[in-house]
Amino acid sequence: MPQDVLQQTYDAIVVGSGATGGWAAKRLSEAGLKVALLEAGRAVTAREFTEHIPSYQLKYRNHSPEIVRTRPIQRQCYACMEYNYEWFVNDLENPYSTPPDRPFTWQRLRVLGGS
Amino acid sequence: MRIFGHEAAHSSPRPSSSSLFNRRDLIRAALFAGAASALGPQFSFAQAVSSGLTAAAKGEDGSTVLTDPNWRAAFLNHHQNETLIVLSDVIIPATDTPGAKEALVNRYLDLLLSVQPAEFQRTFVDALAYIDAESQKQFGKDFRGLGADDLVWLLTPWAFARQPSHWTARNDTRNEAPDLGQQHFELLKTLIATAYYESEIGQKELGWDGEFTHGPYEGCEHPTAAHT
Repeated sequence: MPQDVLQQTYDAIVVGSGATGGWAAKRLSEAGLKVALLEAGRAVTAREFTEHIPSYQLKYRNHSPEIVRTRPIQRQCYACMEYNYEWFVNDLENPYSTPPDRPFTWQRLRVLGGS
Repeated sequence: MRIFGHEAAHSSPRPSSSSLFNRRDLIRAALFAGAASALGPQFSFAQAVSSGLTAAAKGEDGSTVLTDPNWRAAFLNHHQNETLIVLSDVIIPATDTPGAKEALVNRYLDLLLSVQPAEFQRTFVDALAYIDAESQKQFGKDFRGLGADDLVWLLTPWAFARQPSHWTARNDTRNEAPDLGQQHFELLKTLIATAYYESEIGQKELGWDGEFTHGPYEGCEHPTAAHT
């Protein structure tokens, strides 16, 4: 990130665009606020949209052990599949820190683009 | 195509199985062959590996592991694999469409079992062993060595519930001892049927014509900055 961007002051900082963050940044900007929109992850290319590939061409036909092992929380989202699970954070590397009696299971993607 | 166990129960001693074993030539459509090369020169394989892409995003066809001419079982031993092939073939035989054997159901289940928890692996192997033991008891032979009529005769009682459901029997049967044969067979039949209908052959048997409802996805190829 350019240094001058980090040193500026903003009226609002939106963390993650996604479906709602992007709109929030748009509306706030249109309202005249100075907005910083933070993103994380690598850029997704069109070639990575592989849901049109038949499931029998997935090695485990969407029962990949890698998802079970590395995305125990993320895979609770229907969209986390053998096609695209790398878009979701690795739960082992990015564990939630909430106490056991107050689980936090929101899904987290870490890529740019795709909307 | 029919799945063994989806017909009305019968009590004849040994039903004819000749109609279950009519074979036809295997139909295989090599969809998406060479998917990796179709990605084009702009797509670097090294980039794919380093950027954490799924196998699908890399353009890999995961089904080729099942058709590899040098295929070896990852979990099942030879006897178990042969038993599974025979069982899958009698449950979903080839008729006017290819059956479970042609769909390589045994290979997919072997792959799947190789990454399952030990408890599930044991349950599966126990189910196969139970069928083999009953075959030995009834015929003095391993299940995989039985003739077509004997296979059907052995499996038929397990394919249909002999006890009334506790729903219809007002819970009277809730505490009755389970029918082990039926339990083991149900597990194996379910897995075999699932593996079959998840395969290309199975999906086509269901009526899929190989076309995609929405057509191939051709995403925007413009550089990201071109839209700003």
